[in-house]
Amino acid sequence: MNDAIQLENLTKRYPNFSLDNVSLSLPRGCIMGLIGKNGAGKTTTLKLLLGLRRPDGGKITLLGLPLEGHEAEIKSRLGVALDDNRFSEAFSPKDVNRILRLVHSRWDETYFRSLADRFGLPWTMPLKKYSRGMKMKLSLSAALAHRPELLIMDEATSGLDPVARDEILDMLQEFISDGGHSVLLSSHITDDLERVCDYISFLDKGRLVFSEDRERLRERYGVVRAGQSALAALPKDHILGVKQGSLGMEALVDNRMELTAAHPDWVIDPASLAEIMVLYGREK
Amino acid sequence: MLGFMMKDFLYFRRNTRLFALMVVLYLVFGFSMSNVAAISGMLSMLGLIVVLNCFTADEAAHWDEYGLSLPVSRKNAVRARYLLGLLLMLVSLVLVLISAVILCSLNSSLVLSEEVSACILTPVLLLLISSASMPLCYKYGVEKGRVAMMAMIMVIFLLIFGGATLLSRDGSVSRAISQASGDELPAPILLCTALISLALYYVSYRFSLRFYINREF
Repeated sequence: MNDAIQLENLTKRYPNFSLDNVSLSLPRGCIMGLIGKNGAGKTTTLKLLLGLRRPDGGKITLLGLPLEGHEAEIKSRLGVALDDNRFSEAFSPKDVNRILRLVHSRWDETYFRSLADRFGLPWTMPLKKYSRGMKMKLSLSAALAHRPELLIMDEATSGLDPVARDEILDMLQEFISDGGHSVLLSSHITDDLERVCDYISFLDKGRLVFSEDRERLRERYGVVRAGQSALAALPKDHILGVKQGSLGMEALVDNRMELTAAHPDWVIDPASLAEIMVLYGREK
Repeated sequence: MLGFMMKDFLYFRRNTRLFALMVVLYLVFGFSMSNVAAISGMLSMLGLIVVLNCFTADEAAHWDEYGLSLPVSRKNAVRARYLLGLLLMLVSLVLVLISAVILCSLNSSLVLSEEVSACILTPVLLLLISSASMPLCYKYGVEKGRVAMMAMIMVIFLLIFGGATLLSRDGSVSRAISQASGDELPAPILLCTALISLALYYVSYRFSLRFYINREF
């Protein structure tokens, strides 16, 4: 079966930033989290996927079709939820329904209404009276109601309370439960990604550091917490970043299993996504 | 494309009462002055403002990034907006023509053919103004589009009346133009003028399409 997303050497150049030969694949039926610091290139990558910007190099294949020349067909099978509501604040879910049922040939009004009811979204209330969480739930409902195969979400859970995020994450897990649907989720909330994602791709300064499944990440990446003397014993090639503290140092390494076997007395914990983001690239 | 047109209709739906009130006021004003050209001008301007307000509403909601993630091509997105402009112009023209018929039946001093002639010229001029402002909205945003609209109105005014004043120091040319705008223009001239403005509207559409297709978000 084709991958849901396939990026090959995706490149985009700006005067002060370049997305540089990013290659990754998202298998169907999986959720991939896209992480990186601010300015790492996450939004640029997503905008290239959505055809909002043109790449300077590389190839984008979505749902088995090249984006170039098949944009309309791909987008009919794609659901998108961005970081903020993009409908006029004067609109209500009823108005959103009126618009999108004319856009999507497979729009399911009954399903959209049921999602709105499930999320507690008043059908005729204008969006200016909605909370941020309600607006994001509406965005997600609008993204799902035409039964897409691939869902792309850009910071869609940012700024939401834990209850709202929990509801949305539950919905994502339901979405992929049949094995045929996939999700690409960009977020800074690494707890959310660790809860639902099968794969994680990490961007740093426009380059892809890794794109791996969660289990493999846990095996490879670890945080060594030890005194300064331990740092000298670590193989330099495998140190990805070091944070010096008053009580010692924390070093991010990409050979956790080997180090644990070689130094059973050391404290080497599997690195969380947050630790990877914080420690990666810090001064060695 | 229909979905995008529906979105634009829903933008001005929230101001339906206000627009309806404005239309009624324009009609009352025009009827009281027995001036159908004034009704035509005001209704056509209202149509233009509605179109520019759609650009404003899209910008305020940052709609384009989401809208272009939908299965609607950039071509159809632009087409929807231009069709809306044309539709609004036609609706205002129908309203004005109906007003002209009613006014002429109430006021025997008015000549229907002269009033119709004046009615058609105003939407033509405003089609020209929107032809100038819409591509700039697509390329630079709605604020610059509004500036273009005002500049175009100024240019038309200066060209017609300022140029006439320069040509004739005693003001006879500008007086003649004022009088001519109230006279009946020959049908072929009216038709040519309308066709030229439609052609320019299409050229404007092509420019807008190029700007929008090449724009990155």
